[in-house]
Amino acid sequence: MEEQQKYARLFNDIDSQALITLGVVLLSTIVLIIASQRGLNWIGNRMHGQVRFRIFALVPMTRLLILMTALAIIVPTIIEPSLRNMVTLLGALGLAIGFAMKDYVSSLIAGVVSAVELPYRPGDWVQIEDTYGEVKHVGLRTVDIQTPDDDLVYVPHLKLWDHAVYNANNGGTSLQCVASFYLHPEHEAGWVRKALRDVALTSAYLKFDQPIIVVAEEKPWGTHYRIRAYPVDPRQQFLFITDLTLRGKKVLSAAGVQSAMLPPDAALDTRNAVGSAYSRGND
Amino acid sequence: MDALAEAELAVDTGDIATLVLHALLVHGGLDDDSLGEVLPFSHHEALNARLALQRKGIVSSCEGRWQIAPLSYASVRQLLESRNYLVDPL
Repeated sequence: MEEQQKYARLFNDIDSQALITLGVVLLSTIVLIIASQRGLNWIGNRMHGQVRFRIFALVPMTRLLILMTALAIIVPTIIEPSLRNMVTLLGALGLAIGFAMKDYVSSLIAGVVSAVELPYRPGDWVQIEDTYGEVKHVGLRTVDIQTPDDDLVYVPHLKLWDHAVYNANNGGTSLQCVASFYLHPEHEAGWVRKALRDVALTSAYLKFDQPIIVVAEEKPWGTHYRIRAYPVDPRQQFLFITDLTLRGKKVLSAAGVQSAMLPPDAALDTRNAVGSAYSRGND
Repeated sequence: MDALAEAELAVDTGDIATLVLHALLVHGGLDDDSLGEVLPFSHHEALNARLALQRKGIVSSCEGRWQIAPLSYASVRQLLESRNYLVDPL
């Protein structure tokens, strides 16, 4: 009987007042989370530039704060907060988590870490393993990434522990775009460099106050040029690269500059392959 | 005051209209053909956006070139600034 009483004291007596408190706290938590998420997302989507990213960054933090507050109210209501009770509960929880829900809990903890360290925020363009896209929502367990093909990919936060996260704009509006041109080796390199720079300078999407860099690299099959420049809005990155590529090709072809004939992926390890590229380029 | 209110731009102004306004300010006014040349859209799309802006009184014609209407200048500048386009120090 005494034993039974000891264990019974683990939980407080749940009377009607405690039930009402729990109900009110749970309901308020759900309503507050939904309202804060929808409200902040609604405001963020109507903003542009830095403000947009700051507002999106508030979404997971606000949810975390609301959840922590709710837990701080709920736990002492249900459990008598003594040392013995806590040890008993944590031991049982640890066992359950260790066996059955290791990855789930690992994702939840990584979610808390991501809300503090901010490796990705809604509005960021990130690559995690093979997934590249815009972060749409940072949830408790997953981060929702919308790819350029309009697929929504749910990546669990636990990837944070052992995978690199490539963040292209890191909460800001500067996202570097690269447009590549593969040219036949016989051309006036100085002119091409200036022409490609002008192509970037005259793009409607260009962010003027960021640098434009044209990089040239000699390869066995020809010359690889890259325009490195920044669009006004990260969401315009593919339109920007397309604009640079189309107008770059137009300018180069009007000036009689030929493209390298073999794709760079074709390795060109053998001299014969290089020789054939030259002969076709000169035709 | 009514004229000023009419010359205001909507917050949800589209990307094409924003680029048209930016191009008109950068080039100090453009005719329809040049507008199609400097923007990465078809002439039809550029014309469509310019017509919509003209109907709202945001742009007006001056010697064959489309320019930002003086009353709209402040709101256009505010819109471009909020979207991170480069604007003059004023």
